[in-house]
Amino acid sequence: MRRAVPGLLLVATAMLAASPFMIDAAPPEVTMGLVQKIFYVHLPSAMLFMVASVVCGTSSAIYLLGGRRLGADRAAFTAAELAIVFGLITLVTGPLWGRKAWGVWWVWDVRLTSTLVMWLLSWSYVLLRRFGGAGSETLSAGVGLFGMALVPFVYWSVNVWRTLHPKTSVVPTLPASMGKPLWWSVAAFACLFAVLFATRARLERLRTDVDMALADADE
Amino acid sequence: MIKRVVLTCALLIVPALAAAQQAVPEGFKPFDESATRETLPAAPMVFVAYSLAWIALAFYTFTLWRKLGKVEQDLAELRRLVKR
Repeated sequence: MRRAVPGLLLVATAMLAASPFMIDAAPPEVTMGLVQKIFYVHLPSAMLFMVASVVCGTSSAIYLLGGRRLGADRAAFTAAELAIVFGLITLVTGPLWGRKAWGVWWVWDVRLTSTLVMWLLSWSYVLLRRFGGAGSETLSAGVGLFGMALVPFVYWSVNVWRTLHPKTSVVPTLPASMGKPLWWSVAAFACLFAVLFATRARLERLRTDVDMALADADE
Repeated sequence: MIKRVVLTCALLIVPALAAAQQAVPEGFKPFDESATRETLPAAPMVFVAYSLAWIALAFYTFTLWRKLGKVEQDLAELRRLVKR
């Protein structure tokens, strides 16, 4: 993975540089107008927020059930931190879109509230790891599992409960003129996510090496 | 009795006269763009959304690279010390 990072970074940079031109070329939505263009950054970040939560939960499950593997713990921690970053983008861009499209910054409906709870769970994971002391790995892995359990709930909530938020059927029914820039943005964000994940995981591994080297020096 | 009849007639006639006096639109009416102008502009919202997203990603990437550089430096120094 480490060898792929420079190449992926190059691809992500090129794709992200091209994305404003593609988004600009996409037609504005008929009822929402220009503000709908927030969609092209809101949805990819929301998707990666969910992906990060699933990776965090899966790695936590592997850590808890697979004999406390350090690699799984590192992956879970890395994914939780990325969930915070992409969740922040989702939760900031959403209200900016909503203020114009709905007339309000925020509504306490199921989709928005459960997304906020999922983001707070990612924060809980990271804060537990940072300040929880010894044994916090196991405790935070439990929090990671709860975060992952919320993902299908967040995704389906718009189809089950009445909400102002668009339903999941919007994406498959997008016209090509809107679908192309959307999937381009998703691919660009996914490349960036992979780069950040690999780099953050490497940082965590190097920190472990530093700790081990310090322990050797003490001996 | 007469007062009641007069009052009833007045109540019926006055609104009817008022309605009749309202001008009926005739012909073409020019489209008033100002009436449909959006009260809240969309462009600043889009600009702020994209700016904040890029700032968040750039800030995280920058801090990650800085931390990585520092840890690599620490590790190299430690390895040098261990070799001695």
